[in-house]
Amino acid sequence: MSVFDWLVLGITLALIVGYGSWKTRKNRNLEGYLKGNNSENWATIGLSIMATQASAITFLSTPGQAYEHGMGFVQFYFGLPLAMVLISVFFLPIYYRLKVYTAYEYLESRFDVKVRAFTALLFLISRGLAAGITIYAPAIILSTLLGWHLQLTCILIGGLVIVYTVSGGSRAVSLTQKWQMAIIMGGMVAAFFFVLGELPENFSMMDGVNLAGAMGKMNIIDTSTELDNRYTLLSGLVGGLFLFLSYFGTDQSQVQRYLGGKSLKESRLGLMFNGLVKIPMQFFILFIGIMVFVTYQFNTPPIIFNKSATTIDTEQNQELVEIEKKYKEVRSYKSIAIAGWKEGEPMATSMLHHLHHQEKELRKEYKEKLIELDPNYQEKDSDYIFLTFVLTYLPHGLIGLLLAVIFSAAMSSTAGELNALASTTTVDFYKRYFSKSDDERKDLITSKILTIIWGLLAIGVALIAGLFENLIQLVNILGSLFYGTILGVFLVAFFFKAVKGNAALVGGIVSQVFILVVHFFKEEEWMPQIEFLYYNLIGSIIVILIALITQLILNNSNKLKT
Amino acid sequence: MSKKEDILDHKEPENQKDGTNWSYWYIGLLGFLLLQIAIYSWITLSYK
Repeated sequence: MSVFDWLVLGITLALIVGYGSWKTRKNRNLEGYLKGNNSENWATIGLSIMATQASAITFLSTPGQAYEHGMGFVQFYFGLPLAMVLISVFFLPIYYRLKVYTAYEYLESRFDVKVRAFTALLFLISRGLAAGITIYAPAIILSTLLGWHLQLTCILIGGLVIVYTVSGGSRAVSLTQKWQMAIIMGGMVAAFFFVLGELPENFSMMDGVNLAGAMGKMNIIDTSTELDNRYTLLSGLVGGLFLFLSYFGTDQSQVQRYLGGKSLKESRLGLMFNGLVKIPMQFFILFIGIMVFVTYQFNTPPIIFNKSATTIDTEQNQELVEIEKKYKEVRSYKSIAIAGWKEGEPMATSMLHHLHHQEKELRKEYKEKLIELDPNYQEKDSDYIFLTFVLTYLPHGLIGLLLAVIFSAAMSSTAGELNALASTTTVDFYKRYFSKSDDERKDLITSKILTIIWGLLAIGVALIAGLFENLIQLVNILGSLFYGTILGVFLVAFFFKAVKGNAALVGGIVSQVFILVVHFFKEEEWMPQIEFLYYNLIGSIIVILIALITQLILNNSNKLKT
Repeated sequence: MSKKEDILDHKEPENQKDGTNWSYWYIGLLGFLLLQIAIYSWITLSYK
């Protein structure tokens, strides 16, 4: 990194933190702190919703996902527009009518305090852990590729977020997220054009798409119906619908974003904006990955993208050197095959497939050998692909901007999470059980202290995250482990009027235990293999069924008593 | 409206009614989703 990159990164981060803190410095009451005094318009809400969802790992991983597995990941988002419609119709009016601060507050009005506390607690557990990983995941990649100190990177990301989230609360989070999204999208668009600039002169973008298509990377829609197939049309529409319904409708980190709207109309428009823009945005980020893949067909990529993640000197190991030599040989044949494919030679496509397969096998062999030598080596290197490309090919200044993109994404999602964790702890626990006075100043200070505590806990989780091998993978499924249950309780609340608090609570507990058992015993032979997207659907159905059955039993036993 | 009905009613609160026909928005959004799925299916089939 050059001085210019450091300047771009430093100035961008300082402007964001300074702007958020300065613009919201006059917050004096709890409503202003937790709901931004209901002052946001639809554009701020929409961008803020998107910024909360898109963490740094989204921008680091997604292009790598397309590079390795093609465009199919976009199907994951197909349930999102459906979820936006349902939330707009069923969830929002009730939240607005009851003027709630948190989604869980509604459950006390509908059921009782036990159900409210149960769902709020599930949220705090899942989101509290996720906040730490949101910081850790980009920090490990940045520290590996740039040689930055891992712990310091975690503390820097977490510390910057704490500054403006504590000082300005929900409004600071939304306002900064708007600018963070602008930087993120600006940076990604600039990166896209520079990726295209790396293609050979006689090779257009459409040639690139055709080449990617010939190599199986443009298989976007998968119509298979197996439950253990992760990204399909069915899992995206059905599993995705339940996941996004739960995430946007009941996760406080999202609910808080649109409850800060000026009116119900602005909040609805913010959700519609998200529903319209999200899939094209993900498609675009995946497409950048496809173009990186095409560019790397003309420039040999490293055999693994996270070489610096291992302590082994790969140049000194004869076996590794041999595998790498064969890999480079295959790559040289590949450029001949591509030239033949461009000329329309009939055998070129099958030749390309054959060479691509060989290349993948050699990469696999290299990784397996490396694991033998260094058991701590993590073989999943797709998260490192995009940043490796950025650091190798992009000009100075733009590298700084792309790093600002990664920091902005990490900060925007962490800020939304900390803000929501503090709000839920304040409203659903502190004010409900410990402070029922209307001392605004005291509540505001408590809320700020809780934001600092959650921020420090998130940094703490990030600092020890490296001790847990599969933590990064866990962040992808963490939400789904709890969302099905939380959504199920809300669906019972909205649509099953006869069900009361105790029955809903029993349904919630049974569902939660069931999902945890299914997930943590999935390696066992007797357990059916179910992809995590379906946990949301299954969890919700279990809550509804058990709650209905329990209510029926309770009604009958009450009748017998009378 | 009683408290019980209030917590189960999905209609807009009176003070939040704005005259927007939201059905058009919802149909438009879902139509856009179908259009995207159709385009992606066509791309997929083109490279099969």
